[in-house]
Amino acid sequence: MIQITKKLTGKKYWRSLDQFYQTSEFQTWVNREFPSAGQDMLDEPSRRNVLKVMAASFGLAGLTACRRPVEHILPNSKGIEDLIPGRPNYYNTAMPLGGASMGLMVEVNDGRPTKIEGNPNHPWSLGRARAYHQASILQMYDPDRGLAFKESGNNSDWAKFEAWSGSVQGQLGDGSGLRILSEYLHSPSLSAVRKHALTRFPKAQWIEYNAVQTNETALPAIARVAFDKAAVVVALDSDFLGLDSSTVLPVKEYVKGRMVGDADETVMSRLYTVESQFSVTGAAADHRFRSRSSDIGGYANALLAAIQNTTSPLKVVGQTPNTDKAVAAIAKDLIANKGKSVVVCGPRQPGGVHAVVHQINQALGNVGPVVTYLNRTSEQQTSQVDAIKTLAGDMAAGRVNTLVILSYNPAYSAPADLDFVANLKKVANVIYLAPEEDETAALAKWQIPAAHYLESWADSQAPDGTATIHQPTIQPLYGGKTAAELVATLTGFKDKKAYDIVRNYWLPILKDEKGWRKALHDGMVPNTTSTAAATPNFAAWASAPTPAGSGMEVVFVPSWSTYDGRFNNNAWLQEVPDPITKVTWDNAALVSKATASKLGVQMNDVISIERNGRKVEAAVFVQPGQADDSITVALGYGRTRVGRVGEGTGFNAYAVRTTDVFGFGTGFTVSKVAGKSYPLVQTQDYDSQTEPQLVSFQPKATRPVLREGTLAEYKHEPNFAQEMVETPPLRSLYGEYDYSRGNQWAMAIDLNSCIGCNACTVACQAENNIPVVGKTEVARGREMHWIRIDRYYTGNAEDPQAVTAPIPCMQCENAPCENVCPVAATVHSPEGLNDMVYNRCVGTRYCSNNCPFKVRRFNFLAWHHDTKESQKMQWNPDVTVRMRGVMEKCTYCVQRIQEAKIDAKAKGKRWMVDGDVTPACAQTCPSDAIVFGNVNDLNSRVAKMKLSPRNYAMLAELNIKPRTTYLAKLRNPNPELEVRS
Amino acid sequence: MALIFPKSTDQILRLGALAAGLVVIGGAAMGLYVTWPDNLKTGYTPVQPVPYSHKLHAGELGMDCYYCHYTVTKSSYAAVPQTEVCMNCHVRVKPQSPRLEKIRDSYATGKPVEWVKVHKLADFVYFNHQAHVTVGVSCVSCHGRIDQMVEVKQVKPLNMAWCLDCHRNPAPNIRPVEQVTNLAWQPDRDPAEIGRELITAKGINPPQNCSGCHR
Amino acid sequence: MAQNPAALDPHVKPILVQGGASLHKITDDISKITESQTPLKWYIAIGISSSIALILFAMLGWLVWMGIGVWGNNQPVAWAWDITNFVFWIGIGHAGTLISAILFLFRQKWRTSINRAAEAMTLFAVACAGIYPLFHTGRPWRAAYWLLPLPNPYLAMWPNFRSPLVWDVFAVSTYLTVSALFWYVGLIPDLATLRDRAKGVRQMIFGAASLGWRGSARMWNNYEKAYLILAALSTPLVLSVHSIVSFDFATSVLPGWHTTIFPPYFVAGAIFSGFAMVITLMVIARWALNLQYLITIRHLENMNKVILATGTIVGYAYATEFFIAWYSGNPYERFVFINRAFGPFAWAYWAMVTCNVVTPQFFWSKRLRTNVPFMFVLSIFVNIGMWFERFVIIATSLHRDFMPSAWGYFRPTPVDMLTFFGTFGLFVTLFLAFCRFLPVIAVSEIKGMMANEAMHEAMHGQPVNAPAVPEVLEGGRH
Repeated sequence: MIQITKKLTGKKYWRSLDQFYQTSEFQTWVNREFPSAGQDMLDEPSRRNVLKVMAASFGLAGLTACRRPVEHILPNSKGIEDLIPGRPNYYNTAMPLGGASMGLMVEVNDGRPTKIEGNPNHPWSLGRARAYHQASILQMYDPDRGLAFKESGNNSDWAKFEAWSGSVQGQLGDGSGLRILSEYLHSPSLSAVRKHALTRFPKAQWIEYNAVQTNETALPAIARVAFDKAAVVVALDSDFLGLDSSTVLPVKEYVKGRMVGDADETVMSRLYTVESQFSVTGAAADHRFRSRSSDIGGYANALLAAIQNTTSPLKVVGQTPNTDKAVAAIAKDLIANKGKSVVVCGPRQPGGVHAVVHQINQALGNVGPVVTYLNRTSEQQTSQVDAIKTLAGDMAAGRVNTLVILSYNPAYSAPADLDFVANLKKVANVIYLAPEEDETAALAKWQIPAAHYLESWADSQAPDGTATIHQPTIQPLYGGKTAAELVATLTGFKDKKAYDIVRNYWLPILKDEKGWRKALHDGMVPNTTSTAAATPNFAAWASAPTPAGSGMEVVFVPSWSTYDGRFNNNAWLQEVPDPITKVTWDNAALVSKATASKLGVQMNDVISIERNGRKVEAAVFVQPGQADDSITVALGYGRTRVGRVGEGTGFNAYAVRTTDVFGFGTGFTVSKVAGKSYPLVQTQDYDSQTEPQLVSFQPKATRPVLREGTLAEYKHEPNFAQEMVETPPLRSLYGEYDYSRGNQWAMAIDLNSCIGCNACTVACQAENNIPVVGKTEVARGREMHWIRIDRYYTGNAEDPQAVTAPIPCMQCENAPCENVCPVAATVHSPEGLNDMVYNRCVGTRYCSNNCPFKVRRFNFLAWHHDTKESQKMQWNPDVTVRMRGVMEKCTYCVQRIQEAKIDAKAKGKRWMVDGDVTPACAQTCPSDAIVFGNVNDLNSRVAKMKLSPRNYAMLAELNIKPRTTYLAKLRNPNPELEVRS
Repeated sequence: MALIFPKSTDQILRLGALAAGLVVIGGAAMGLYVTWPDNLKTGYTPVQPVPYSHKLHAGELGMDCYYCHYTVTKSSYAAVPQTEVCMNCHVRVKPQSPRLEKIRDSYATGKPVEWVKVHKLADFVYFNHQAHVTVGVSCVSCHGRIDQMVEVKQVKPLNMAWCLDCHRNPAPNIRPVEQVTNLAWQPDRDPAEIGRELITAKGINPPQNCSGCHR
Repeated sequence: MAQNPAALDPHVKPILVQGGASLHKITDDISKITESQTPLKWYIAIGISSSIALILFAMLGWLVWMGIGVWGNNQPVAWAWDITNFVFWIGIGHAGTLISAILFLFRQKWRTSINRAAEAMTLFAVACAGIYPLFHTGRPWRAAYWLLPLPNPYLAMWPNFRSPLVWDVFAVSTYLTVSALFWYVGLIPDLATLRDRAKGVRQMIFGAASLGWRGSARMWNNYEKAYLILAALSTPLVLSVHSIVSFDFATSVLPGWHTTIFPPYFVAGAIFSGFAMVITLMVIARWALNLQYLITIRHLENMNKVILATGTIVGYAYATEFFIAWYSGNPYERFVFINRAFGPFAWAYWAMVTCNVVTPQFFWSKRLRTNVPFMFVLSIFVNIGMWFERFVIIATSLHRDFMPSAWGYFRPTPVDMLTFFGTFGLFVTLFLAFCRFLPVIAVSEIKGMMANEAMHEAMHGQPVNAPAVPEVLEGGRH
């Protein structure tokens, strides 16, 4: 198998594809062979055809010498600038998601984009990327994405569309029947096209709608919070570290405010969260209070009142003395930190609550020093929900005859009460820029394949306006087009090609070719970052506070895996578990223990959630720390028209998400569906049904695997973590190896920074060709993640605290796995790595048994058999693709270490310092929790971290001497509130 | 009681046993000889689409290896040159030669020439030309006297044991970097001695652990 | 043939050979089994067992084709039924050598009528066990020779001699070789007897097989020496094999595996299960072949005594484990044992305790000890229990070790079960073949033993079960 994959992943394969895709005979061949579309060619079921292609492209056609099969070398005919075969090239670009643009750096091997990193120059990325960005590359190679141009169901092409739009332009008249639906606009060039469209067709309307609201898209002004400047942070139903923003900056700044130095002069910010579901922000918090999202308004008003010494106009439903105590304590803490504290509020909350929160910040004088407001790049004044409501109204009334859809799959993701599907049928010309063959594509007259951002010329802006020009890293695999191209063609914009649109927009601004090249190279357009705008008029928003409805509440949140559904067919994201629930391949209805018993349900039972005749059935997951009477459901599952990966995963929460309960709301009737059950699968606590307590609650005293303490404890006893376990002097049966010389690789992971965001897991998967195994195999406990994120609860089962920690291979100096391998397939390198030699492994699995951390992963079956041919193009050519029957594991990205060392040697340098090598996990970690380096270099960050009193080695009592050590987590609780252990 | 087997049986048995023994030993020896890396792996000489002669270019014309294989110092691959490189000369030199048909086609159409790979390593082996050439391991150490070959032929087994021999004792194969492409290099004194000096000078220390080549 | 009711009556003082059978009768009876026309029931039996054996090969084929994933193994339980069955069969293989070698050296005369069958059983059990170490690997086509210390001109690599799995390879293969030799040497005189009684091809075959045995005093002398030497060689093996198998676990860091008590505890367990299996087979064999007067109640009773003893040792070992776990004060160690008894696999643990510790205690009662149907049932219980012992040690220790986040559970797949089931098919098939074609009882030794007893009676009318004069010094038996 390794044999084959290498050939397919080699540059030859890519070049052949390239040629094929460009040449017309390929297209005709495809259409002849496969009436449906091109992707079949890249498809597992038609492996025979793939072989045909290979044969045609690099002559593997059965030519075999007597000794070995003949392999060919296909050099380019003409040289390509800065292309050295076997050397990756890096290009800066950006990925737009949730109204924010993240600057990225794409690694391209022999013309195949293979890996995504953050762009260090980009202020919102700072060299880091999150799981969505890491996984977006798989999206591009997704064979199920492959689309044909279609006109009312029949194969078509771009030329036909151009012709058609030429003819339709006349009929559009003043454009009163023309609507263009896009997502939150933060693309200057597209805005330019928009301007043209709206001048050419004055009565036309441009609507912006994102199914998932973020800090960037929800408000009339974007709150820019400098978390590093806040000594006290109060997050009201706000997951600012997690799902409420897709950028890295907030995480970085928050972590900066929590940096721990020497015991005596450590200053740490304090984080309070009040939230309904257990978010990663809640896990990081020093104090977390459970509350229905509906009651957040009450909390906000109560806080405001407490700060202004008035009485709150709102009561918190089901208010307990505990709530008052909390509010009082928080208010006191805030007042004590005027000008260096902040209250933030999640995008789900209505404008009124945001207004109150704004008042609080003003009252505390935080507006300015901590909070500033940025202008939206979008010009849409009304809220997105109202906008799409109006659109649906017009469609229903037949006022729309031409609808251009640039946004994500509205037929699936639009609010349920708008009957978008029915209304789409009323529109004569629906033109859909389709990212995949999805629900909306099925209803569109014109299906235009959308170019992936890695394939296209475009641009986008970060929340503060910082603009990045997207440059393609590969030709569109499926001949996709960009939004700008589509609208430009339809409305007769002066430029038609994406490249011209983008270039002609920017060239005047960038002056000359040199400026243009520099902007591309840096991944940023200079002087586009806007300075803080004037304070927005929140007063207009401050509607009279409406009391929260009582009864069962449902909260709609984006999914860690599928976001709003767009990543539903992305195997990496589907398999990476939710950071808190650890559920994978599904979403679930999260309920608290009390609510569960109230509903008479347990794990894996099915409940029906009903409201005004709309209904969905969902599997129950009992989540510790969930607010009572509040059900959290993740969006983005239960797709009806999706590729093979996403098929049959989860349930569709959009079915009950209407405009009046867009973020959350009450008035749902929830009941158990008798006799029905749905098995949810977790990567942790497999048997939590039987004993959740024992499994996921770590008895701190007896099992100090993850160690944490309070800031006070730390100041009083800095070595508390190291002193948690005492052992007699340990001696090894075998002689100790001298690691004092040369480069010695090591890792330090700061539990105080880790927010459990999954970025490292996905980055590792992308870098190391790690297979995906699917739901049934995860259920058997066979997932392959080399770096997993452990989540433990502490405290009581109703309302616990959570702590997360990434667990890679620890590269033990006295590695238990090495002694027991009968064939010496895992041995130690002189630089302290625990080498894993796939080609020597015979798969006794003894090493895994003897690994105290259970970080080794075994290829129980030929996982890569169902890796689609196109996805093999993503594989990292520097990493062996493991066959069935061999063990694999993290090796600190040894391929990167070797490459770096070889380059250094060529320069006559052998001593490695920080920055020379970074493994995928450390490179992408948004919170800087993972630090890697040469521990013999005393100036390296890792060496310094290992000197910290918080530094401890997991299971050191086994005398395994792990190279990966952890820095204990610190919490900074408010002494006035009782500290949960 | 009567004999079941004639007396001679013992004799036959002894001889039979002896014969069997010889057959086994001989067979083993034969098998080992045939599959021994040096015999099984070397000598592979595929026919190339274009009758390019290294003997002519590298040998008689004395072209430097770097001229065509210009990536060896920068990359793991010793890339086969683009058609362009051939045409640098062959637009003037023998522009009409029928033997260069394929080259001219490739140059015109942009389609690659399908050279046949001679030196193959398993896919899990990450040999890196840059790492070797830049410290002074000559082409000749692994590829032999290419400059004397009309058709390129594999002359070294290229198996792991063979690699390790050199990684354990690199001295005989280390030479001044400027001599790397001089396949006929004959120093006035013991090359190994020169190698040892270079090793100490540059701190050369070839990896002998698995991840040096397997990732 | 003539049935001696006393053979089945426990109240008659059991003796080693009942019914005053003449030497000739014994030779006759044993030989007849192989000479008489094959009974239908044998065909039926081997038909069934060999088709079960076929299931085994089908499953192994499927395993190699698909990968270990067809079994239930997972992370963290990377070893499960595969190694469980390996240890189970190896354990069963212990009784044979123990009986033939150790009891021989201790001059336990009663061994003579059962040692042949027990040795055969050993070989077949070890053969079944041998399947697993190879086929439980992910890439058996490599494991087949990379685990052997062969010079390799391509890689110039040796196996890792620190790994207990490599020790296993040596231990098990040595054991197999020596037991096979021992068994065959024992067979030679009887093969000669069969040869002398046979005609034609049959005679040729047995003639060749008996290596020209003539039974001269000189031959007997050499024979006895060889037998003694082999006995001496294989005695340490009885202890070494299972000790080394236990190192697979004892040398690891895993709580529940990392225990110094394992070697003795495993050996005791092995003898325990081995004898249980001998009982199971002998009870059937003596009934099917009408050998009650040779395999007497006394033989069975003695074996039951051994079962009682070893069973009690095993029980003691279980107790010690718990005590040490508590005494060590190591939280991980303590948890593992609490988890064994009360965790998700508690059912397996208590099944083990019931079968291995409780049931053998019945053998304190002579009445039960000599009750054939009862001991048959009980021996089966013991075998079940010993399988569970290995499963408990392997699975429960693995499924919850140091990191709670990595805890899991194990569920076998049909392939797991059928593979295990299939090994029984193989085992029974081989044993049936043995019963049919070879003398199931060491005729020459029995005769020797009888002659020697008869002589004693003649000399000073001592009771039959008087201490014997060492057999090796005995002269002419022919």
